[in-house]
This record gives sequence, structure tokens and C-alpha cells, in this order.
Amino acid sequence: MSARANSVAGWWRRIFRRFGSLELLAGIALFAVILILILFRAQLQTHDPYVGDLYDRFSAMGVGGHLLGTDNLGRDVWSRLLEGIRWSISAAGLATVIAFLIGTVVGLVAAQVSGWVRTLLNQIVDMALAFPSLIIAIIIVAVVGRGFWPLTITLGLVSWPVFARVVYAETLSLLERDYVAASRAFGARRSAILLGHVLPGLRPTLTVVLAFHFADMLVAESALSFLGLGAPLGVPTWGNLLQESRDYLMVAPWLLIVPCAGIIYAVVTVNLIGDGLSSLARKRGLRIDL
Amino acid sequence: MSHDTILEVDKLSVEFPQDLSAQPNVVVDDVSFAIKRGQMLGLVGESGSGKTMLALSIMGLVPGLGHPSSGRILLDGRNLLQASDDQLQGIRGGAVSIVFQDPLASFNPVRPVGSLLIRSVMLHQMCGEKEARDRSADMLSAVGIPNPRQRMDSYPHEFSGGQRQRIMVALAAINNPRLIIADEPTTALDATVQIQVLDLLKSLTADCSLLLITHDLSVTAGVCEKIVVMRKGKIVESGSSDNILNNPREPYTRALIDAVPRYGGQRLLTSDSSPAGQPQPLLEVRNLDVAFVQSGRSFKAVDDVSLTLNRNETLGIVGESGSGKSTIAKAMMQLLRPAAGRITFDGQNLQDANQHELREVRRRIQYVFQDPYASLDPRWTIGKIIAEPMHVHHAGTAGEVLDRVADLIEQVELPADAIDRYPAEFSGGQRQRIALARALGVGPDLLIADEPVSSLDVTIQLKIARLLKSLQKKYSLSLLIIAHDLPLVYQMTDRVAVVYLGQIVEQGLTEKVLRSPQHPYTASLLSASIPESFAAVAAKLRATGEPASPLAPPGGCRFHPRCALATAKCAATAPVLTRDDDGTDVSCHFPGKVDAC
Repeated sequence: MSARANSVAGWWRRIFRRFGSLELLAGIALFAVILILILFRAQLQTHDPYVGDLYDRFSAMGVGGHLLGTDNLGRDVWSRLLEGIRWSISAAGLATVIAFLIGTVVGLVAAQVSGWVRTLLNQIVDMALAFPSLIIAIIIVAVVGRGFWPLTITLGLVSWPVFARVVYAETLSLLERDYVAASRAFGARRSAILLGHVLPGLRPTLTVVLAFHFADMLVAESALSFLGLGAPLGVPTWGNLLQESRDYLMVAPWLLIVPCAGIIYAVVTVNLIGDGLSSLARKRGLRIDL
Repeated sequence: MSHDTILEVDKLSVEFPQDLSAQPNVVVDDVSFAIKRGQMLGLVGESGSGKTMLALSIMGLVPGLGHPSSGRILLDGRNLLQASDDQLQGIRGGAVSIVFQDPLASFNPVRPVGSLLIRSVMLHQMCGEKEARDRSADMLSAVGIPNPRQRMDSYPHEFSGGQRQRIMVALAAINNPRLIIADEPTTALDATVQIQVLDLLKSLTADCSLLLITHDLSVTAGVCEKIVVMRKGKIVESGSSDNILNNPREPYTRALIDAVPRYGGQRLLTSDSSPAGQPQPLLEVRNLDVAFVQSGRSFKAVDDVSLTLNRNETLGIVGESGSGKSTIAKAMMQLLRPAAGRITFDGQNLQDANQHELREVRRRIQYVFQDPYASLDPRWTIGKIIAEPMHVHHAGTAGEVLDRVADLIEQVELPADAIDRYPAEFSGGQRQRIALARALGVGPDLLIADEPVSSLDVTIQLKIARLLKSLQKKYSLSLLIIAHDLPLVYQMTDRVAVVYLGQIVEQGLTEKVLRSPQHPYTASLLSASIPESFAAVAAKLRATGEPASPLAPPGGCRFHPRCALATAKCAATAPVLTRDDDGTDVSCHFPGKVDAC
């Protein structure tokens, strides 16, 4: 019996070592739930998310087969929530990728060049960081209208300076390391140093920033949609659900509570992953860099 | 216990629990020793020997989950292990104080140094601020800080390294402690300054006892009455300084003593230094200037330096930190662009070399960095690291490179399975071997080693030095060694150049320059590196103060403010490097006057 207990403990220990931290493990488990909800949306939805029954308006949670109640048009909130998750997650994800790509390229270039190009790039980043992103979003939505791509691209465009800053600072520090100087002393080309030493060196930091940025984008998507600048009307994203709930706060509080809970759940999940990754990077860093 | 014993450590063990396993890690194991009033005790051991943990447990400052598990620490008969936190608080900085290795890291950068002293005095001596200020100023002046009243309001970065360490000593001594613990107090300092701080510490023992912790036996030689040698948490040997240094009983102690490079005895030279009689120059540096710009002002880090390195020869460049010795080497590899001068490698002028030629030069000249912890990418396997220069220079197919890497790993005496492992799994000495293997892969003619052993333990230093010399012979390399450690340079080099504030002050055959120095600076460096027989003569020549900032070198001879022989002429005109009868170049108005002392 004790042998078995040992092997189970050993198994857990191995998992724990692989993932490095409890936060990361919990974050991944919670994220798996989101993925299941997205993938098996059709099977899990109890009603058509877009069609309501006006006799069934404002059903409370659990009443009449509506798990999370119904809204002002009698639509099933649970089914609408499931419909919206995919939208919110993919908009935030794509926005993160756009910000990551632009920011990383700008940061890398700024760190490698010198003189006025670097100054110019840094000034642009400073300006972009200082500029209120809501105003840019309003301008873009005013010009192209609401929709998935306008929203995603807007979010990406207003948030890339975060990556540029981090990548710029980290690259500068990496370029000062002795192993990069050694590489240069062998006559290695700049591109080889970039691919061989700098990019792998950026990886731990970037993974962490990516996770936290994703959480930021989830919140930003909701905020913009709530203000009517994000997802198109009718699509039940978390932000739109929130916006619709505003007028019925007193009669049907669950309309507010459900999308809020969704946002909080997703953000906590992603933050757990981010925390886990950063503590993992710290542990590895301690082992490697000391 | 006799009444004049200040500190007695009795069968002390310190343990760290290890995660999940039952066995704790014992870092200090059943250690006993005692320090008498006014005594200076040296605690010697390599890194990982537990000497710092021992010191921290006296202060009640063992970090993390570590804790003393058994034994007693008696200070004036009182067991510190049973003292409460409040009592310990009173003891720290009061009856027992500590001097750390790195004086910059142990000062709060945003507070004037005086405020630390004043606060400590007010806390432990229960006096008002004005009185505390007076006492602090007196203490600063006692440790040799000029204008203490004004300097008290300066911040740590406004002092030089040696001055910071003096202030640290003042902070330790100000509350009339019974015991001062000095943990590697001079390791971060230059040789000429090191000896000044040791003298200062020694002068304090009139009033209190001193525990000097160091990895370097030679530091304890002149100053400690008693030495305790530690290894892996246990005491290997202890006894009077004379006994330990002259007839050690334990082989480990003997190994530590042998590891300290000495003048005389067997030098690690390649026998066939200049085979054909006529030396063939490989690398020539003529009138090299390297300039940097700092806060808008340009200054010369290297000023009119000329050097020649012959084929198969070993040249040493010696100097204190900030002397520009590494800058010279970097300029040689064209990693820095010289402001003026000519660098010729094997007949080719490097300033005119195009990108293609420069790449070839960077194959033929290889550079080994000082810190093997920083010069290997932690994310690369050893195999990939060693192969990097070969890949850069397209030296053979993947299979050939792999064979070569395996061969190199064997050459530098690393285990064969190292190839798939990461730098984090290796010790400092092993990492330096990896760096050597990496440099040798592309078949260089010249190896530049920048402080190749100074970040390693003494016993490892000697091994790496031997390896370097044997590889030099095997691959018929020319070697340029940059170092501040004179005995090591004496052992390893054929010729040596001594650099002070960017200028060469003396240059010639190592045997001549380091045996009978002509320049007072060389003599002061020698006196600082403690060759016992030399000490008496050279004490008169000890350099006072610290090197001036290279930003504003003094006029005339750059060494004159610190020189024991300086006259008005030295302050007025700069001497020129001239060759004497022995073939040694000296830049001094009074060459050879050193002999007269």
C-alpha cells in the first residue's frame, strides 16, 4: 500500500515539477473549462441564443429550464453566454497577438539601431503609451464601424507599446551580456546573435507579458463593447451582455452578475497562468543564471 | 573558559532543511573555536565551505529556513543562540559588528554615509544627535577619511571602493564592539588598496577581537595570529598562523597553501618560448589611444600604449581596475574602435581590414572572458556553446564539428556527457574550461584571456592556469593574459607590461620586471601581493591612497600623487618610456631608485 502511495505522490511531484507551480496548474485547469465550453457550445446550449420567448421574460436563475435565467426579450442567458465566450476570447487573443508582433518588432529594432532612429521609435512608443486609447478606439470605430476586426485591430494597435517597452529594455540588457560579446568576438553576424541569443533570452519574459496582456485585452474588449464601441449590436459578447443588463439592474440583477462572473473567471484564469509562468521563469532563472 | 575569551563557538552545527527529503543539508558541522581579547583570527575556506554561514549564525542572521541545530555560541559567556530577537538586535552593531565584502552593495545608496553612523551611535550609545555626529566624525577621521565633517553628507557612490570599505569599517567599529566579523573585506578591492584596509583592520585589534573570513590564505598571512581552515562545513585544521602556514598537518591545508601562486619556485612556462632565437612578432600595437565619452567629456582610457606579442610567447598585462588593461585587449580585437594608433596582426593592419578580413582575424584571435558565469548562454547546451565559433566560421560539416566538440571536451578534461548539459550544471572552474574549449575550436593563433582565473577559488585557479599553459603548448598558441594578480602573472608569462591609468609604466621580461622592479608603481603592486621576504623592503614603497579617476588623470607622472619617491619634477613633467640596460622599458624620472630603498 505504501508503495502505491509513494508512486502516486511521485506522480504528483513529477507533474508539479513539470509545471513548476500550483498557480500554473490551477490556471491551466480553469482554462481547460473555458476551452470545453467553447468547443462543446452546441451540445451545452439549452436554447437558441438569439431567439427569445416574450412570455418568458426575466425568468430568474433556474426557473423554467433556464439555468441562468432569461433577459428582457426572454432569451436564455446561459446559451447567450456560451455564444459570446468564443467571440470575447478570440478577439482578446488576436488583439494580443497583433500587439505582440508589432511591439516585439519595434522593440527589437529600437534596441539594435542607434542614433535618431532609436530616439524616434522611443518617442513614438512614449506618445502611444501616453495617448488615451479610448479616443483612438472611438476614432477607428467611427471611421470603420463596429465589428470583430475593427475591435481586434483597435485593441492591438493601442496596446503594442507595452510589448515594445518590455522587448526594448530586455534586448538592451541581453545585448550587454558577456555571451553576446563573446559571440561578437567570434565574428558572429548580427542576425545570428539575434536568433541564437536574444530571442531565446526574451522568451521567458514575453510569455509572462503575453498572459497578462491577454487578461487586459479581455477586460478592454468588455469595456469597449459596454461603451458601444466594440462588438456589433446583437452579438452576445460579455461587454454587450453587460450593456444590455444596464437598464434592468433592479428587476433582473443576474443579467449583470453572469457576464461579470464570466469576465472575472477568465481574467483570474489568465492571471493565474501568468503568475505561474513568472514564478517558473524566476525559478529557472535562479537555477540558470546564478 | 578563561576570562579573556571574547567569543567561543562550541560544537556548532547549522542545518538547512532540503525539500521533501528527510536529510537536512548540514552546512556547518560540529565546529568549535575561540577568539581571545585583541586577537585576530582568520577563518579560511573555499566557497561552499560554510564559513559565511558560520559568521551569519554568530549574528543570528542565518537566511531562509536554515538554523543552528546544536552547539553554543558564547559571547562573553552568554549563549547567543538562546538570546531573544530583541537582545540580538542590541548585540548586532553593538557588541558584534560585521564588515561585508562589497561595500557598494551594503550601503543604502539614497542616504548620506554619515546618517548611518549617526543613527547607529544614537541607537547603541544612547546619546543625542550632536554628540553622535561628533563621534562619527572622529571615527571617520580615525579610519582615514579626509575632511570627515564635510564628507559625512556625501552619498556612497561619491566615495571610491577603498574609501567605502573604510567607512564600512568605521561603521563596524564605532560602537566599541567586542568582536568585528570581516567577511571577505578586501576581495573586491585592488591589491594596493587591499593592503591598506588590512592594515586598518589590524590597527583596530587593540580594542576588540577580529574574525577575518577569507578564501585567500595569503590575506591572513601577515595579519592573523590564529588560523582556522574549514572545508565542507567542518574544521580541517586550526592553530597558530606560523604553524599552519609553515608546516600544515592536513593535506587540504597544504593544497590551499600550494595553490597560492608564489614568486620563485617552479614557473608554469612553456620551455620552447622562442624556438628560433629570433622572436617573430605576431601582434603589434603602436601608440594606441582609446577614448570614451562620459557625461559629455571625452577621456582617454588608453593613452599612447605600444606593445609587441611574439609568436608562442606569453605576454601579461598587469594593472588595477580602471587601468585600461581590458580596453587594450578589446581594441586589439577591434571590439572597440581606437582613437589613434596602429594595430598589426601577423603583418596585417587591422584598422584597414574590411569585414571579411576582420572575420578571419576574429577566428585567429580568440578571447576568453573573466566571468564564466556570464560568458556562456544559460539556454544553450555545452555542445552548442563550444560549436558556436565553428558554426560562425563554417568550420566543417555538422559531423566534423560534432567530432571536434567531443575532442575539445576531452582536451579540457570535462566529462564526455557534458555535451548535452547546460552551463548551470557546472562549477565556475568547469565553466572556464568550457570557455577555453570554445575558444580553441577554430584553431586560433592567439588567445587573449581577460582575468581568466580571478573569479575562481584558489585551488581551481592553479588547475586552470596549468591547463591554459598545457593547451598553449599543444596548440602552439600565443597567449595574452590580462590580470591584476601579480604572482599568477609571474608564474604564467614570459614578458609583462604594467599599466597605470591607461599608460604603460614598465615593460620587459617577467623575471626582471617582477624580480627587480624599476618603477615605484610596480614595486608597490609587488609589496601589496605579500611575498613574505619582500614585505620589509617594499613597505616603504607602498602606494598611498587610490588611483585617480581616468576622467581626470593627474598632470606630470600619473603615479606621482601616490608615489613614495615623488619630487617636484614628477608633478611637473611626465616621464618617457625608456629602455634600460636589461631591456626593460620604464617610465619614471628615477628608474632603479626603488633598489636603493
